[in-house]
Amino acid sequence: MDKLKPFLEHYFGYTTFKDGQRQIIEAVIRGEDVFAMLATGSGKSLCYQFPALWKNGTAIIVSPLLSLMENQVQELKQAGIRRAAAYNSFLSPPEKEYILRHLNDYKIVYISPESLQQPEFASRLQKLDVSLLAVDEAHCISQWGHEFRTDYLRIKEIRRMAGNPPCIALTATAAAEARKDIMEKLELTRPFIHCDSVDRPNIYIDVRKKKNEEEKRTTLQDECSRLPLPGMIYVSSRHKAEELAAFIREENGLKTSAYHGGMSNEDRRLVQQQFLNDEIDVICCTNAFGMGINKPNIRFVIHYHYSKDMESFMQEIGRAGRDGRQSLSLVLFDTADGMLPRRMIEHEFPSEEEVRMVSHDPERPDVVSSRFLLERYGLEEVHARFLQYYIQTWQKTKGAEPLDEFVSAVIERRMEWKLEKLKQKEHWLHQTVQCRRTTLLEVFDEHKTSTVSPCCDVCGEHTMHGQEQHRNTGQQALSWEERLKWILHQ
Amino acid sequence: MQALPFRRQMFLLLAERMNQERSIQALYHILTGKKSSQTIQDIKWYDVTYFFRMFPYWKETEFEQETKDMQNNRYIASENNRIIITEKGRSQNETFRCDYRWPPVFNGWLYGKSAAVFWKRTALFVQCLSQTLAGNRRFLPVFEDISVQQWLKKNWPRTIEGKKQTASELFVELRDLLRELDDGDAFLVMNRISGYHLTGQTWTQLSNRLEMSEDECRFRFLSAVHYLLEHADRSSTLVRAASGLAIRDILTETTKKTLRYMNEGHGMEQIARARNLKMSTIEDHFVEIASEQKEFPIGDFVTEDDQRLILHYAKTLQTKRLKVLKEAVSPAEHLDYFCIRLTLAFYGRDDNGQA
Ligand SMILES: Nc1ncnc2c1ncn2[C@@H]1O[C@H](COP(=O)(O)OP(=O)(O)OP(=O)(O)O)[C@@H](O)[C@H]1O
Ligand SMILES: [Mg+2]
Ligand SMILES: [Zn+2]
Repeated sequence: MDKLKPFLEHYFGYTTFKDGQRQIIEAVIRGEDVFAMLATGSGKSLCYQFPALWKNGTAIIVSPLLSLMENQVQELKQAGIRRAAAYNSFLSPPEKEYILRHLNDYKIVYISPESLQQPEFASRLQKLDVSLLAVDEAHCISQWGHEFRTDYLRIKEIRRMAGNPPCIALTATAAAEARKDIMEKLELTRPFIHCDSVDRPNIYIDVRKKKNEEEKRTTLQDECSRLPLPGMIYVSSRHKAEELAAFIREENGLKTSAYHGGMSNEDRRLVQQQFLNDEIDVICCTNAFGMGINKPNIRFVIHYHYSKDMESFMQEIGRAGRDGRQSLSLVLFDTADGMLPRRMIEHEFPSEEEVRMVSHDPERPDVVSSRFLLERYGLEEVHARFLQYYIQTWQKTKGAEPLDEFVSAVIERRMEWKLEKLKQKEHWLHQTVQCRRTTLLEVFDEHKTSTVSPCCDVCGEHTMHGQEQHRNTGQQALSWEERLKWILHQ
Repeated sequence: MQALPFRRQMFLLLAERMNQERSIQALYHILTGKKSSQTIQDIKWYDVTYFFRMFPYWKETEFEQETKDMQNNRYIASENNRIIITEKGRSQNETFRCDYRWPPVFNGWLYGKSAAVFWKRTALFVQCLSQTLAGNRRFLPVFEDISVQQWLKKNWPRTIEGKKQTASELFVELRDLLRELDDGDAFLVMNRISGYHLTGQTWTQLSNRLEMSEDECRFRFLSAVHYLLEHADRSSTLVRAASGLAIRDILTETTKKTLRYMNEGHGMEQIARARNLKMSTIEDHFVEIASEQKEFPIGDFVTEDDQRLILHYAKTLQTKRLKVLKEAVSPAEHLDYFCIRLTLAFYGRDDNGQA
C-alpha cells in the first residue's frame, strides 16, 4: 500500500504529488544524494520537508536569504508543523542558545551557510542525528559561493562532520556548468538526478529598451496603472528602491513599500507580512527579497534594473503567477544601465591594492581569520571573507606561487566568468528577432517544445491590460480608534 | 529660522544643558544610552535623564558627521573638548520650544530597557488576541523572542469567554489611555500593532503618513510606550505586561561586583587587586555607587567640612567642572578629583536635597 500519500495529506493537506515530487522524495527517503532542478513554484520545498518529517532526526536546510527562511518556517507553522526553526544572525544570543540546546527537538532547521560554519553550531552538529542536509537555491553555490559567500564552498566539510547525511540540492535555475559545479562542490555521490523544464508558460516575457531613465519612469508609472496587482519592481540599490516606492505611491496612488537589506529586521518582517497579506500593491526591492518567496498571486515582476545573469533573472521572475494564472515579466532598460552591474561585479572582489597589501605583510600570521583581515587592513567584510577563504586554499597548494598572484588569478578568472554571464544577459536583452522564451530556455540547455501564448514581446502582444483584479482601497483611512476597534473586534 | 532635523534639535537642547561642561562625545553617550558610570553621573547631575537613550540606534559615525555639520553652521562650538552652545543655537532652541508639544512622559533612564520588553509583550498579546478571535491560527507572530512567548503562554486567557472579555476590557482601557495622548501619538501606537488583516507599519511608512521624520516618529512612539508603562496599573493586561520588569537596573554589572566587595568591608585598593582592575576604575564604581545609594558612607572618604567646601564652590561658581572646582578648593591639598566627584555624585541625587 502507498504509505506516502496519507502522510502527504496528513501533514501538508495535499491529495496528490506534483510532477517529480514523488520520485525525488522516494530517493531521499532511500538515503540517496539527490540533485533536483524544477521550475520556480513547482513545489521543491516539499521535496525536503516531506522526508524531514518522515525520517528520524533533524533535517538541516541551508538557505541563502533571511526572508526566505522566515517565509518557509511561517508556512510550516501555518500548516501545523511547529517543530521548525530558522537559525540566523538576527537572533539574539539567548534565542540562538535556546535553539542550539533544543536542536534535536526540531524536525527542520533552516540556516544560512555562514551560520552553519560557526563553531557553536558546527560542534552541536556532531552530536546531532541529522536526517538529511538540503541545500535550497543551490545555484547560489556557483553564483555566489566563489566570491562573496565562500561559506557555500565549505558545506561539504560540515557534511562530513555531521556524519555524511544524505544531501539534496535543489534549484530552479542552474545552467549545465552550474549543475556540475554544484554537484562537485557538495561532493554528491552518484546522485539521483531529476531535471524538469524550468519554463514558466504562464509568464509573458516583455523586454523594452528605453532612451533614458526619464522614459523608463514614464513606462513604469504607466504599467503600474494598467497591470493587475500586486506586483514587484526589482532595482539594484537600496536608494532606488526607496525612491521608486515613493514615486509610485505619489504618482499612482498605490500602496507601495521598499524592501532591502538596509532596513531593520523588524521593518523587513512587517513589509514582507504586509505584502503576503495583500496590504501592499507594489513592492520595490533589491535582490534581498524574492528568492524562493511563495506568494501565489503576484501578477507582474518589473526589472527596472536588470540582473547580472540569466539565472538570477529566471529566479526573480519566478515570483510571478505561482497560482498558475497569467502573469508578466517586464524588463526596462536603457544603454546607461550596463554600468551598474559592472560596478557591482567589480565590487564583489577586493582591489588589487588590497590583495597586495595583505600578501606582502610580513607580520601576517599563518592562520588568518576574516575578522583579523577586517580589522588589520580595513577590508570590507565580504572581501575579508573572500581573502580568508583563498588564503586557506592557497596554503593547501603549499604556496607554489606567491599569494598575490594566486589570488589575482582567481579574481581574474571569476571576474571574467561573471562578465561573460552579464554579456549573455545583455545579448538576450538587446536582440529583438528571436523568441525570448526560446532564447531564455537555451541558457538552461532546453528547447522550447510546446507553443506558449501569449509568449513574449517578439512573438506577440499580451492581453493583460485593463484586468482590474485587486486594487487596494487601503485601510490607510482608518483612524487610530477605528483601528483599535477592528483589531480587538469591538 | 529653519527647522533642524529632529535628532539634531534634540542634541542641541541637550547641548544647552551641558554648556561648557562636557564634551560632545559625552552627549552621544547620553543620547544613545550608554551605561557607564560617567554617563550615569552626568544625566543625574545635569538633570537630563529624559534625554537618556532617546536615540539608541544613532550610529557614531553619523553622529560625528552631524555634529560637525552643526559646528560648521555655528549652532555649537567646541573648546578644550567642551561643547559650547552659540547664540544662534540658543535662539534655535527658543523657537523650537515655543511650539513643540513635548510628550507627557519620556524617560529613557527609568523606562529605556523595560519599555522594549513591555512593548513586545503588549503587541504580541494584542496580535494573538486579534487573530485568535477572528478564528485565524495561521499568522506570523510579530515577536518571536522566547522569553516574550513564554510570558504570553503564562498570561494567555484559556477560554473563549476569557478571550472575549479580555479583548473588550483591553479595548476600553487602551482607548481611554490613548485618548489622553495627542492623536498623532495614539496613531503611532496603534499602527505599530499588528492584528487580524492589519499588519503594523514600518517607520518609513509612518513617517510618510504623518509627514514627520522617522526619528521623531520613533521618539513620539517610545514616549507613548513610556506613558503606557507608567499608567500600566490602569489596565489588567498592561499591568501584567509590565510585571517583573525592573523599572531601572540601577548599577552597571561591574559596579555591582565592586559593591559586593565593598559591603564585605574591603577597601578600594584591596578591591582593585582582587578584581584585577585599575584604581581609577574602582574609583568610577564608587562614584557611581555614591550617586545611587543614600547609605553610601561618604563621610569615610570626605569629611563633612570638605563636603561643604566643595558644594559651596559648585554652587557659587555654577559649575560642575572638575578642573575649575579643583582649583577653587586647591588650598585644601588633600582634596583630589576623586573626593570632588564623590561629593558631587552623592549630593547630585534628588533625594539628598542638601546640595
Ligand atoms: N503536492 C502539492 N500539491 C499542491 N500544491 C503543492 C504541492 N507541493 C507544493 N505545492 C504548492 O506549490 C507552491 C510552490 O511551492 P514551493 O515554494 O516549494 O516552490 P519552489 O519550487 O521551491 O519554488 P522556487 O524555485 O521559487 O523556490 C506552494 O504554494 C506549495 O504549497
Ligand atoms: Mg523554493
Ligand atoms: Zn516567444
